[in-house]
Amino acid sequence: MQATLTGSIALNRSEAAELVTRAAAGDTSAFEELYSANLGRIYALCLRMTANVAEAEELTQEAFIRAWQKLDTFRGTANFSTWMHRVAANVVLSRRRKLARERERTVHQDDMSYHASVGDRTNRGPTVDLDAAIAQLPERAREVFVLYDIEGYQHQEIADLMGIAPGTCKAQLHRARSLLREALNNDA
Amino acid sequence: MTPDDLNDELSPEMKKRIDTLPREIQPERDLWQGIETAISEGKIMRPEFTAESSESQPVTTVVNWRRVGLVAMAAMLLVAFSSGITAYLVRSPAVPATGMPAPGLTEFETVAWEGFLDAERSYQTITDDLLASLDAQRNQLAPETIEIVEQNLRLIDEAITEARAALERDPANGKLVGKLTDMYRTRVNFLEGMSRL
Repeated sequence: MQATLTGSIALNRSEAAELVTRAAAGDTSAFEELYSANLGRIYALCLRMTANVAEAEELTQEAFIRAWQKLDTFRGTANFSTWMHRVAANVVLSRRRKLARERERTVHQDDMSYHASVGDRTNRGPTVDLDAAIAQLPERAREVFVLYDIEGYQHQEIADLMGIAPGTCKAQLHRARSLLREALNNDA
Repeated sequence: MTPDDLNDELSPEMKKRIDTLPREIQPERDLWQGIETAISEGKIMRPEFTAESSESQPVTTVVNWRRVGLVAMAAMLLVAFSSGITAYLVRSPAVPATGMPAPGLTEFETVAWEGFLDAERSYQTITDDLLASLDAQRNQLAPETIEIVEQNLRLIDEAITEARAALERDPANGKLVGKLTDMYRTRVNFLEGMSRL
């Protein structure tokens, strides 16, 4: 077990497997350790995909609750972090469609809180510019960009998750990259 | 350009910037407490209303109590406000309620009254649909949520009943028509809000 720069605890595979076994048997303290080890990455995924702090927090909670309920389906053939990440991506993509109408009403306020959050954590370096530009992307283009370029998913995986054709996924990625290039060039 | 041509367009500079993005971000507030409550007590979990997920397992979610509270509070405030206005508007000597508009309306007032009845029927249809929808999901809702829905609906319905009776006594009262219409709208908005939770 090793602490990371962001405060998370990195678990090796056998440690994670043991915690999963205990958690699947109902041990919430074991699940809390899995949560602590994965929180930063899951929250980052939710935050970048939604560009909305409150929604990201809620979806992060929902992702871990879903994972808790599905622990018995985790076979251990994959890394727990990878599995957890997939669960979270699924939760975000399936759940946030329903919140779209509600979010439209509060988008300005949410964007401000998102940017404030980004600024606080990175002291307004170049990373902030990119994260802020990602947050401004259209929803679907942003989701594809985050999953493909940041999280390393393949087009077919994203297409399966989002229920779209791989060609559509590629087109959305192209759109996202073009918009980002434009946004970052304008800021330069 | 076909989608296949779109793969290799990430510039080295952009790739470098992406690589510098933090892979982990810590939330500003404690999220574990809500998760622990959900998995320990199972009180704030419920199946979602629609099956958008590709998984066969029922989707679960945390009921956003802050949102429930805000919707409920907004509904109650609107009702309280509307009731206050109603009370003010009906302070004038009351005409005995007959269940029908009082006689002696001008032609314009009669048309306005009929228009109001049309609007009322439309709101009632929408309300019935929403109530039927919520009722169908009743066994998927947490008891606390059902209690909040029913409590607020009672308050709204009481205010509507009071305003409706006042309007029957004073059908030419345009402000009262407006307030009553607001209450119907409040009820529909409240039910829509609860359906989206």
